[in-house]
Amino acid sequence: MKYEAVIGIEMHAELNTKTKIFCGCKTDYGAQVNTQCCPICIGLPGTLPTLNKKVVEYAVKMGLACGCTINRETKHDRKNYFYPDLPKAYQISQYDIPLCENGEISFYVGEEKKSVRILRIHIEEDAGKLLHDNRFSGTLIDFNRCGVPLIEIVSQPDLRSPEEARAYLDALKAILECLGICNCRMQEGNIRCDVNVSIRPEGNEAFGNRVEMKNVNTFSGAVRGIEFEIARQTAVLEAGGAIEQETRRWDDDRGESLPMRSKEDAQDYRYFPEPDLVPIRLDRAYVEEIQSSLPELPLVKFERYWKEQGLTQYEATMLSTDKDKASFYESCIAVKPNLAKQICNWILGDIAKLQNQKHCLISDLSIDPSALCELIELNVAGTLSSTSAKAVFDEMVATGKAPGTIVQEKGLAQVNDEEALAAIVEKVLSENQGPIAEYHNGKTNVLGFLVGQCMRNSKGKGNPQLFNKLLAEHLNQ
Amino acid sequence: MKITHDEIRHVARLARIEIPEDQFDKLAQDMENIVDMVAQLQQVDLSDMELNLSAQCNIFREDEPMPSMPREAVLQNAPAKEAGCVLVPRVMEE
Amino acid sequence: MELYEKMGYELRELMDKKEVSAREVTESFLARTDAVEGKLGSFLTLLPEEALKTADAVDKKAAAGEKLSPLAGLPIAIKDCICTKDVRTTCASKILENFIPPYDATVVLRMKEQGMPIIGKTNLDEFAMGSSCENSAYQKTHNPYDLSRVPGGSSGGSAAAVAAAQVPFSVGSDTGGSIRQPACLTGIVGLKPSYGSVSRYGLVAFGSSLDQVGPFARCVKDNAMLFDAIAGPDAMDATSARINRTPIAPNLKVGVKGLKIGLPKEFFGEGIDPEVRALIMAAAEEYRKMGAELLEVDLPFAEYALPTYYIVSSAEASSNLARFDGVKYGYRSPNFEDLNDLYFKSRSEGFGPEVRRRIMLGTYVLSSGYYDAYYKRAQLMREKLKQVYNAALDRCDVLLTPTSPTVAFKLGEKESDPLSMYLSDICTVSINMVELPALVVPCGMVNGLPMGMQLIGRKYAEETLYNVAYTFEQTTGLGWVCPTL
Repeated sequence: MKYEAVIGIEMHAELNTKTKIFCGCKTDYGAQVNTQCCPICIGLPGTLPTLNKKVVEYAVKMGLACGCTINRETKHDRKNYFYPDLPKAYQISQYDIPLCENGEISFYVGEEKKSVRILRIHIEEDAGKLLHDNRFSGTLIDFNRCGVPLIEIVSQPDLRSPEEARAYLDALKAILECLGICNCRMQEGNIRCDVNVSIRPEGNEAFGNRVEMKNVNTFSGAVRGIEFEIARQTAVLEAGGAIEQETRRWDDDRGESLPMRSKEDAQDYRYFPEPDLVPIRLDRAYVEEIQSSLPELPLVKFERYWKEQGLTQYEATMLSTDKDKASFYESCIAVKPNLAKQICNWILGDIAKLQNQKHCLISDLSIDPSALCELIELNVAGTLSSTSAKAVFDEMVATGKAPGTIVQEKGLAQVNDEEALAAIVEKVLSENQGPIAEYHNGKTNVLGFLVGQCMRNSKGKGNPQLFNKLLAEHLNQ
Repeated sequence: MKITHDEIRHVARLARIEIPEDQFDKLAQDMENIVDMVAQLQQVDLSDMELNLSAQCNIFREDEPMPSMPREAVLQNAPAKEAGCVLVPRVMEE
Repeated sequence: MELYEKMGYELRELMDKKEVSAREVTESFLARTDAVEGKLGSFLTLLPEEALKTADAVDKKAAAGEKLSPLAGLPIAIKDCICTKDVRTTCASKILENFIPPYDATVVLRMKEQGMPIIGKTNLDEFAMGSSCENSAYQKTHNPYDLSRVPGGSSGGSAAAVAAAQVPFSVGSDTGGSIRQPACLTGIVGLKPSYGSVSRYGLVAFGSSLDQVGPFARCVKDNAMLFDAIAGPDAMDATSARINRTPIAPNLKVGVKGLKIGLPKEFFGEGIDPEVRALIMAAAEEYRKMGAELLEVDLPFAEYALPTYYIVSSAEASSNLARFDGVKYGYRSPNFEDLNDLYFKSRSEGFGPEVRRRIMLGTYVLSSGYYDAYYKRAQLMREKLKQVYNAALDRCDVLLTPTSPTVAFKLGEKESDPLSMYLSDICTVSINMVELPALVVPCGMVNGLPMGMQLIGRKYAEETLYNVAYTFEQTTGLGWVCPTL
C-alpha cells in the first residue's frame, strides 16, 4: 500500500531583543555561564516577572507577516513541570488565548506554490541549558538562557513530504530574518523544532496516530527525521503493527528517533492563568501601525525576482530568503535594472565566495553597488575579461577604488587588437608542438589548453574569444 | 467524594511529594474533607458568570538592559555547584 | 513610662524635638525584646547590631540638620516570608533554612529609604499557611495576653512583636486573613490593603492573586504612617496599582456623621461566638451614636467564599512552591539516588505536613479532568463574590464585621484538624477573593482577651477605612493596652 505523510511543525524561535522577556538581563549568546542572570530569571522566591514591550511587538509582527488574527485581549498562563533547566518549575507561556492565531503562509516547493495554515503564534520564555561534562559527577546548569524570549509558531498538519517541510521551514526562517526579529543562527539554537509526523494510506481522509518528535535542531535534521519516521511508521504498518501516539526524541548523530521514556507517564501541565502578570490589550491603531511598518516579505520578493526580473527560481530563492543578499541586490538593480542577471551572478558567485572566506555579510564588505554595476558593464562591454574583472573586484573590495581607476592603473583593459593577439598566438603555437600534434590527431579539446596558454601570456588581458578564433584559424590552415 | 489511593499516587507524582503508604488513608481523609467542602460549589448556578481579566493591563518594561548579578550571587544559595554552575545528579538524555 | 510603650508618632515627635535619639528608641525596643522574647518566640532572626547602625545613621542625619522621613529611626520587624538582602529568609520552613536572598523586597527597600531600623524577622506558619503560627518549622509563638494561647496566624510573629511592644511597627502578609486575624487576636491594628496597593515584589508567593503585604501597629495613626510609606506603584510588580496616593496619616479625621455602615448578616450567624458578636454589635452601636447610619446588608453566596478560597489559594500555592525542589537553593536531601529522587526527598523532607497537604490539594484541583470542576468554577464564583461585595459597597461606605469567630484559641487546640483551623478564616478569606481593603482595629476584650473588628472598604479606599477606625479609637478610647509579661 502507498502511504502519505501528514506533517505539522512547532517552531520555537528566539527573539533578538536586547533583554529577556521578564527581566532586564541581556540575551547575548556565548556569555560566560551564569553571568546573565538576576533574581527574576533564576526564579528566586518572591520575584515577579515584568513583560518586555518589544516581545509583544515582535510577536505581533510575525503574526501579521503570517496573516494571523491578532487577539485584542490576551494573557499569560503557567505551564507546570519539573526539570532542572526550569528554575520556577513552571514556564510562563500562553495557553488558550495566544497572541496570534489562524494565519497562513505560502512558499514554493519547486515550481509549485504551497500554502500552510498557521494555527497559532504565542510568546513564552526559554529554559536554561544543561551541560553534560564527564569531568563532573552530575549535570551542570547554566541559567543564562532562562527567560530569553521565544515565539512558538504552530502549523496545522498541512505538510505532506520532507521536501515540503523543508521549504516551509526555510520560508519561516526567511520571514523571521526579513522582519529582523530573530538571529536565525541554527548553531546557536535560535531556532528549534518539534515535528509531528503521521502516515495514512493514500486517499484516506482520517489521520493516523501521530508521533511528536522533539529535539530537532537543524532543518536538515528535520528532513532526515521526517524521512526516518515515515520509513519507520510504514514498516510498522506493513508488518501488521499499529502506530502508538507517543513522543520521540530525534538523535541526529545516530540518525534515528527514539522513544522518550520520561514523557511516557501522561504529561499533565496543569495550565492556569499567570496571576503575576496583567492582560495585554491591543487596540486597532497599535496593530495597524505594525502592519503598515512591515517590510516586503520574502515571498513577494521571490515572485518579483523570478517573474519580473527573469532570475531562475533557484536564484530568486537564494536572494529573497537572505536579507543581506536581497538588500544588496536591491540597491544594485536600483542603479542598473537591466543588469539583474549579472548582479545576481556576482552575488551568488564571487561575493558569496568572499563572504565564505571572511565569514561576513555583504554589508560588512562595504561594496558600493554602483561600483559593482560599473565593473559588470566593463565586462559586458568587453573592455574587461572575466578573469580581469575578478582581479578588479578583489582590488575594489580591498581599496575601495572605482573599477575604472583600477583598470587604468593596472592596465587591465582587455586587448581586442587582433594583430597584437596574433603575435601571442604564434608564440604559443611555436612552444607547444606536442598539443598541436594531438589536435591534428583529433583531440580537439586541446584547443582550450592553448587558449589558456594565450591568456597567461597576455597576463589575462587578451580577449579569449579572439584567441580561440585565431588559434582555430591557425590550426585548421 | 472518595479520593482513591491511585489518585493520591498520581497527584503526589505530579507534585513530587513522597507519601508514605501508611499516610495514604489520613491524607485521603483530609483531602476528602476539603474536597467535600469545595464540592458545595458544584451546586451553585454560575451559568450567568463569565471570567473577566483584570482591568489593569499593558504594564510593560522597555527593552533596556539592567545589570545582572555577579555569578557568586547567582550560586550563593546552591546546595551543590561546580565550574560556575549549579550541579544536579546526572540528567539522562531521556 | 518606658519609651517602648509610646506610640510611633509620639516617638517621632520626641525625636523631632531632640528629646530622644533614634539610638535610644531602638535600644528601648531591643531591651524590651531581650526581656520578653523568651516567653513569646516572635522572632526567627534578630538583627540588633544592624538596627543600631541604622539608628545611628538617622541620628547623624538629624545632627546634620537634614530633614528626616516620618518613620526615620522607628524600629520595625518583618515577617520572614519577605526577602531581605543578605539576611536569612526562611518562610518558617526547613526547606529555606539557609536561604539568604541577594535582594530586598520592595517594601523592605521603602523601609530602608525611610531609615527604619530593622530589628528582625518574625515567625509565621510555614509559607504563611495557617492561622495559629503553630505550623512553623522552628518554634511556636505565644499570645502576649495569654501565653498558653496562639497569637493567630500566619503573621503571628509580627503581630505578637507589636502587641508586646518589641517593636512599634511590623509588616505581615495576608492571603486569607493572615494580618487581620492575628491583629484581632493580639489587640492591635492591622491592614490588608486592596490587592495592588502594596507591591508584592520580594514577598515569597503563596496565593499570588490574593497575597498582600500590610502593616501592623498599635494605633490607627501609626498603622497609616507605615501604610503611607510602603504603598504605591512599583515597576517590579505588574499587579501593583498604578495610582498615586496622598499620605493618609497627616490628614486623619474624626467624624462619621452620615456615613453608611453595612452589617452583612452572613457574618453574624452561626459559628460566631455570641460574645464576639455582642462586642462587634456594640461597636456598631457606638458608630450609630456618633452619627453613622447602620444598614443591614445581604452578601449572598458568602458561604462559598471559604471553599473558593481553598481552591484558588492551594492551586496557586502548588505552582508557586514547585520551585523549592532542592536544585538551586534551600534544602537538598542528603540521600537521593537520582534527580527525581532528589526532587521527591527534598520536597517531602523540606515541607511540613500542612504545606504538603495544600500542595497536594492544589495539584489535584489543577490536574487534568478536574480543572473545570474546581479551578474554573472557583474563578467564576470569585467573579460572583466581587459583584456581591461591590453591590453592598454601592449601598454603604464601609462594611463592619467580626474578624475571628472566637478569641485566641489554645496552642494545640486545632492542630490535628485542618478543617477546623480553616474555619477560623471564615470572616477574612472572602475579602482577599474580592481584592478589597480591610482594616482590623481593637474594639474591646472578651474574657480578658483582645478582640478586633473588621472594617471593609471599596477598592483602594484605604483612607476611608483609616478615618472610620481613627474615629472609633479617638472617641471610645479603646485600643492597645501594654501586656504584662
